[in-house]
Amino acid sequence: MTPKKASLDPVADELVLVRRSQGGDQDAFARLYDAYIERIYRYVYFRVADEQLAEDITSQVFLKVWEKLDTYRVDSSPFIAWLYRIAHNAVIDHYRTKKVSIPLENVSPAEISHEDGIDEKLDLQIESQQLRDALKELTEEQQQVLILKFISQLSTTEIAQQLGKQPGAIRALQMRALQGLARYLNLESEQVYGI
Amino acid sequence: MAFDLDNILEDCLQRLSQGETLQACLSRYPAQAAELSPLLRAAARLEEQIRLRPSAAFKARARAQLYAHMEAHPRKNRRQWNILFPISRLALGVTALLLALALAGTALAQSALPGAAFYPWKLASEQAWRAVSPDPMEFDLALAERRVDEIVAVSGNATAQETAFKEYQRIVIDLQKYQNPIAQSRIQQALTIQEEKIKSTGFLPVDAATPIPTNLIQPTQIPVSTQDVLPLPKATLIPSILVPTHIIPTMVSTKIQLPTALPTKIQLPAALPTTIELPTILPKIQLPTILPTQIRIPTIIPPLPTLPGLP
Repeated sequence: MTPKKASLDPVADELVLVRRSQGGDQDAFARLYDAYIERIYRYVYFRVADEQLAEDITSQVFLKVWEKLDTYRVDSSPFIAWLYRIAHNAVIDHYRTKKVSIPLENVSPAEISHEDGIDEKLDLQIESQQLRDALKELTEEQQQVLILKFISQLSTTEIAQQLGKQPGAIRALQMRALQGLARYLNLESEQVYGI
Repeated sequence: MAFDLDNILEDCLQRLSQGETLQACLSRYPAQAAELSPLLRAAARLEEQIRLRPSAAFKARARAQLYAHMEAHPRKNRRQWNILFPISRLALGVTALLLALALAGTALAQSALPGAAFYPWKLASEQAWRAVSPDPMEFDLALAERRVDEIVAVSGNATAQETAFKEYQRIVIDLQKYQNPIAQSRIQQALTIQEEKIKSTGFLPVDAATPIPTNLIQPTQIPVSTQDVLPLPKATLIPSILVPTHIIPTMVSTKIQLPTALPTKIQLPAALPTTIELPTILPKIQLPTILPTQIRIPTIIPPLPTLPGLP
């Protein structure tokens, strides 16, 4: 498991940037965009499995956030949790209105434009597909917990706030979700070496 | 057991995120290692997806789109309002409450009769209405009618009637300023009806309570001693000032006599002072500290003046 990167740490002056953005400071909001674009994109991508669609929804999420900034209360939840809620609603809205999803296998390699090398991109894409298929076997809540924890890198407390549950309940959900995922990925039969 | 595994899994995930290896983590919990291992490897595969990133081109394009959107939909600086909102909300609430109380009090006061706690409020509210009334004369007449109704309503309570009557009189005095014959006719007509109404209650104001007798009957008997009839007033000493009659001019002169001639002689004092007081302290004289070392004698001596009477 990779250690969390510095770029994924909470924005040091997030509160200041949020307040400035609420006051109409475009540059402050652009800094928040820079800080969270990747995490939101990854979350959306994992839910829709289409790069183009993930980009469109991610763009729309930030436009919506700019418009709804007044409704965000600093003392109610972390800013990132609020962002994910909007992203989650955007994905739900997409499925509700369009009722269209592009299967991942239909996305040609030429369309994949991630930053890594092309082979690695393909490996990552295949891995993503496998994981997405496995996740589909889980409940919606279990999927949410795993994506927020491992893809969006939220803490258990943040997920609890996001989903309106106790941290203990999130830990239990996480365990059952990982058990289900391991089962679908056939990881249970693999030998544990070195113990 | 399941509860324990939740916490152990959470602990391991925390350690892995801090850089600990899977093997090291499993060795911490040998009893749970078999159960933990697939879970941690599933978690690791999920976390690998963190490498999934949007393209730089998309990020730049979305950023430009965001700026364009922000320009098109600028946010007003509402933060100040957000800070002030609780204060302004409180102020609005208090104002609304006061306004509601004032309105309720004014409405309640309208039925107040003289002597009631709300009666002064009623009078004050009438003055406020009068200030904005388009026809002050008609308003005054209506107020006068109102006072009369109060006098009727508080029949039997002399003090209350007196209070209402005083207010009535004040309005009647105010009405005297309307000198227009039409207005005067209208006022007179209204006041006549109102006075009739007041009389019908049997109320007599203090000033008119003692009617002036029209026919005087001479007393048939004069009491011998007035002490039996009326107590004598207590004697009091009233100070008086006596002004001498001679200082009071009987007639004030209307002319002022000016002197016709100036004095021809001035009387000088007959004797001069015999002694002159000299100052006891003489002024100090500063002598020069340096005397001249050389004296120049004039080379030309002026001619002696001729003295009169000398050859």
